[in-house]
Amino acid sequence: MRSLRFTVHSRLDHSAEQSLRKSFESLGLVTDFQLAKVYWLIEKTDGAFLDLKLTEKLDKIFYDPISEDLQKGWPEVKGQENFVEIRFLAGVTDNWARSATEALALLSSDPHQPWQNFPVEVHSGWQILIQGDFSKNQIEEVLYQGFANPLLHKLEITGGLHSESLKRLESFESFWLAEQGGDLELKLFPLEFAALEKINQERGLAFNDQEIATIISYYSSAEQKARRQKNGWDGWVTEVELECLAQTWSEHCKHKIFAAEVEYSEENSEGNLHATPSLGNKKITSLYKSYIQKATNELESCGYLVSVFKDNAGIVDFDENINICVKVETHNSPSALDPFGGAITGILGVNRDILGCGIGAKPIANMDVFCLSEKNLFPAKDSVDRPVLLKDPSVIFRGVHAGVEEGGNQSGIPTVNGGFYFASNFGAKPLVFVGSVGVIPKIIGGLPTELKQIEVGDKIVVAGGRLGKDGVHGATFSSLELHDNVASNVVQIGDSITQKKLLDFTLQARDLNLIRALTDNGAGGVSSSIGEMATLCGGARLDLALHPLKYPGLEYWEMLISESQERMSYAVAPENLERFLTLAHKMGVEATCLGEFTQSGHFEVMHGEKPLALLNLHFLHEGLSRMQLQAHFSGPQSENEFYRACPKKILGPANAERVGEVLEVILASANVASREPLVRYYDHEVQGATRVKPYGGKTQQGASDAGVLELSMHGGAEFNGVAVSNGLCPQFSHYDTYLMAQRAVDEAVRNLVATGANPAKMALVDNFCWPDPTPKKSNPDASHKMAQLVRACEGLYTAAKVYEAPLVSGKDSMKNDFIGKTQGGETVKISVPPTLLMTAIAQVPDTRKVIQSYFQKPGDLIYLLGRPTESLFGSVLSQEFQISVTPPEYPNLKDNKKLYSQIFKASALLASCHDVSDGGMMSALSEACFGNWLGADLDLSQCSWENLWSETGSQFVVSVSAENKESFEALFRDYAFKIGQVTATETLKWKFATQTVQKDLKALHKGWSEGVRHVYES
Amino acid sequence: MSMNPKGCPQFMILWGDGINCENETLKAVEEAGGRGIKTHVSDLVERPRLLQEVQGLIVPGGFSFGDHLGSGQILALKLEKFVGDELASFVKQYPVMGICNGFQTLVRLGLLPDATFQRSCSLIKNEQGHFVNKWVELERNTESPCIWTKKLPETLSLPARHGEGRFVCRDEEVLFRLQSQNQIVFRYRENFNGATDRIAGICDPSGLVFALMPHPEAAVHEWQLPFSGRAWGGQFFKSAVEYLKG
Repeated sequence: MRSLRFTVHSRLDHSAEQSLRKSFESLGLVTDFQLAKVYWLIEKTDGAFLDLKLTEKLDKIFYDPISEDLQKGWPEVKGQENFVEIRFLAGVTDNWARSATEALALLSSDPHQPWQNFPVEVHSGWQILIQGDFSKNQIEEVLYQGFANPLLHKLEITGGLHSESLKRLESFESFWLAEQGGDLELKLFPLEFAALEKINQERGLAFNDQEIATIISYYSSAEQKARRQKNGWDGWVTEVELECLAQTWSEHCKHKIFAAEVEYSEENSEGNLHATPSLGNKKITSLYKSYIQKATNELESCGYLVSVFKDNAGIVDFDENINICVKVETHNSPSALDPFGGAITGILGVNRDILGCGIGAKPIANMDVFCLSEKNLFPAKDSVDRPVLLKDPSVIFRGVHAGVEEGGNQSGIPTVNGGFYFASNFGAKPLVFVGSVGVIPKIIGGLPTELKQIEVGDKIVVAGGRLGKDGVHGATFSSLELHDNVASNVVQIGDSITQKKLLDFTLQARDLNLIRALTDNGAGGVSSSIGEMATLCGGARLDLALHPLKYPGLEYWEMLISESQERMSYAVAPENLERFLTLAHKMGVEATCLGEFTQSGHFEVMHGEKPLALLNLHFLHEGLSRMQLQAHFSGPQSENEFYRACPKKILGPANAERVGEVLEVILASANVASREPLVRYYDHEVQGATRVKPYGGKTQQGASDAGVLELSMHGGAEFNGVAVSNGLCPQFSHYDTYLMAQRAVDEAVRNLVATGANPAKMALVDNFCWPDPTPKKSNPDASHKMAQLVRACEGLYTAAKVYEAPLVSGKDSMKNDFIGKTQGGETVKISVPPTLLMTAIAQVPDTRKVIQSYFQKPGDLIYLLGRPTESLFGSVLSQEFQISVTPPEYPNLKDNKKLYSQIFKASALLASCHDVSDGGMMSALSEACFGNWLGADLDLSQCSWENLWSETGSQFVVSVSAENKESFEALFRDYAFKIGQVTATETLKWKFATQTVQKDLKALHKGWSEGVRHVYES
Repeated sequence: MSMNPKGCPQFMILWGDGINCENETLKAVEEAGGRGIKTHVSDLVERPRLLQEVQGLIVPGGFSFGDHLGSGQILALKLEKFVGDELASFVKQYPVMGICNGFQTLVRLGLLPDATFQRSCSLIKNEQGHFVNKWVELERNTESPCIWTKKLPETLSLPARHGEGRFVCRDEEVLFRLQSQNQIVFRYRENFNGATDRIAGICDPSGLVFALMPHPEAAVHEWQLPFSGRAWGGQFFKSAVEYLKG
């Protein structure tokens, strides 16, 4: 067999090379540095290179002669030079190699063969030459800061290329050889507690004791024994069954905590300084049913709910031609291990949720919210407090940012909304929220598109990527806390382009009426997707031997639960199967029929003739007994910040001068500074429908409150739109999650209202990310965290009810804790603060009336809408300065509701409207200036110091042209406070107390626009 | 020239393999009075003669084959191998436009700057090293023979959305030729990605084959602008429609 290695190096573009070189230069002198792409080509059948005339084609395929050099063989390595090769580990998805193989296949004599069978194997990687005195450890350390990941890559590092190292590197052919795992074997496990518990621990199946007991008693019944006898499984459970149960019953898939029976009690709040609302002691059966579903049921009369909670995404009716779907997911655990891979598979996964909604919807917008730590809130590299295993926050940040960028941009889906939130307790498990909005025509082929119908005899088809070991145990892994022993195969690699083809194909097949039902293969792989679809007709028989594999050596159970990405499962009527498969092939998508849907009442899994699992559908989906949990609210707690390097600043006396000083600090602070430099990496207007973009105005720096999409670009009615926003307020969680949840809802709703959306036509999506609230030794305050969950649900329920905003979809992630050792040897536990992300969508019935967030013209009057508040609790001011705070005000939801509908009715009177949130009123006013580079002249003499910075209100900064003054004031009499005027002066001027002071917009803008760059860099 | 019965020029708009701006491009063509026919790359590969049924070709933006091995590289290989002959004669008679990834593809195909299948230019990674989505101001070269831009003002704004849009030439001679033959159709007012001579769009010497990095199909309506101003994107397609109507 022949093989070939060559490198490609750009003569002109050195951006990646420079940034990596810089990282090395921070450790020592670098006199020369080169980064080049490497390709390894290996013949799978003898003579393939020759047949292909490979050497002639290298030029055409692998490089661009105008800007790059291609070098075969090995570089000349000089004296002190370090030679590094970065290879993907065997079995890890290598997208560049896949594309290269596709290109080689195209140019071969049989261009229509599947590239997977092509007789040449390609691998891609990097080669680095470093002239400088660095140890192997130093090189690894730099490369693992984001360029490579030990879970995915192998680093070959040698000082110089002497004969010995060359010999090893030259024999690369064997490096990617898949393990030839002998004959496949189906293991059987005895129905004994000790034996099953041992397997549970060894494999990380995340079963609790009660669940193991349930399995034993179920399979020990006389009925089951009789049924299982013919397979010789009487008294045993098969490995495949056990794995399938573990996936289906995992917290990730089954939401056991939200379904649990909860005993709630609280400290008597009477006589307590903190007047947290009392819920009274009570017993709750299923938080989901008692709060979330209940709110929606009670709001069903709104008339626009098409499908809620039961599908991959919620579906609402905001348009006469098309329905809108919305879904938000979290991808926290995968992102902690491999930030780039975790985020990209997260965004691609939530897009597949939209694609798998009804009989197939089209994703039209993405959003993403990241909760991360930052430099000042995480121990430095050499600190004894630094947890050994955790990635530096900057590595996580760069990875997740790049992941969403690549996933969204390459899929052609605009990222229209999102956020970054920084706090120390996100240092171990970052929260990575990824959301997507989709559209679907109301009727296709005479049938409502939200209906999934499967008939007995329909074929099971899986399309997209092949099966590998990647993502094995993702669902159960994320149902455990993060610890040291993580198997590398839980990491997944995203492949946007395979998914884009899958998406194009699915929508095409849908429009040709070839799909009866479909769903995404996400957590749990086909075990979940087919296991769930089987319930629609009462059974399924699946032959795993038919599923194409990336490489041999997968165990039976791995095939069933592998979470290899970019796959969808379909139910296809037998008469349409051939057309379905032909269309897939033509569009470059691999699709395979794996079996059929039945009415046996069972999920039967085979491998050829060999039975692997026989799972009763009722037991699989309903067999789980309800968890019992205690919840006791011990009242507001003090904030337990994991780490802070620089102490908070000292604040001088409150006067007009001080307002300016403080404002500069706040505008440049991590949670207020402009995200614009980061957001520009995302395509936010592909598909041509983004009416309100993340940043607008003359400067393209006016921060919008919500994204607005023009539905006519997607088959909707003309000038009809949908607005998308988020709300997230974990800074209130340690005080009271009831408040936190209401503030999150209110923030999301305020953002919609500020943009001109109709508050009477909203839908909400809830994403709970919690520290583990279940009792165990390492979790002494579990019952308080459970009470926090109850209170958040109660707060959410009340807000949804008062705002008449039904919840249409949601998800929870309940194990966001980390336990590990610090460099000093101490054991440390870091848990995220209880966090609820609210995503809200609303109809904008006339998009010509959308309101921008920034001032439009000099002379317009500036008002504050909504009552000023006094508490500085949770404010950015309190994060930056040492101040004492009073307990937070709770929102007056009923009042807010009136104000919000008033704003919508009067939207024509408002020249601009901007929500007051992080940073408070002064930062909202400054941001309103930046969009069109207009100044403001403010009279704040009626305001208290606290009014300027408080973040506990429900307020807007609005501007109104002089001719609308009277009608505006008449309408908003009870809510509006006039505070100044828009000017053309490029200054922000204010009168506070008795003194008048002004600041150049430039000075304020500088810190705000550059602040986010300083979050990780000095 | 075979037009459909209404005398409405027909434009083939490629899609598939990672192209992702085909729908808004189709809309822009239709709003400009043309007829757009979305054609999957695989369909064109199977039946290259489909090109004979249209009077214009647009290669829209996107990430064909994920930009792996270089942006536009694999799509260019595919088109050259299967549709090369048909393209060679098409580009001599009819308007062809490449937008963003389409520009990259036409350059890799060697259909730009000269419709000869010889590469002499490239679009490499932006100077800043990453993708940027931002509205940019363009200066139009009024001396250019480009038939797609006749109706446009001397300056206009369009959204740029790319990571690999820095235009470079093989050598000074190529650049000199582009300059002297007025093949440079657009320059960035502010050179935001480091392009040679601020080049944002070029055409072949005949003016039929044209490509640019920013996206006219996303600047057809005033509401698509992030600030108040006029949307000129539709005029690109109108110019081509009018050219074809004669």
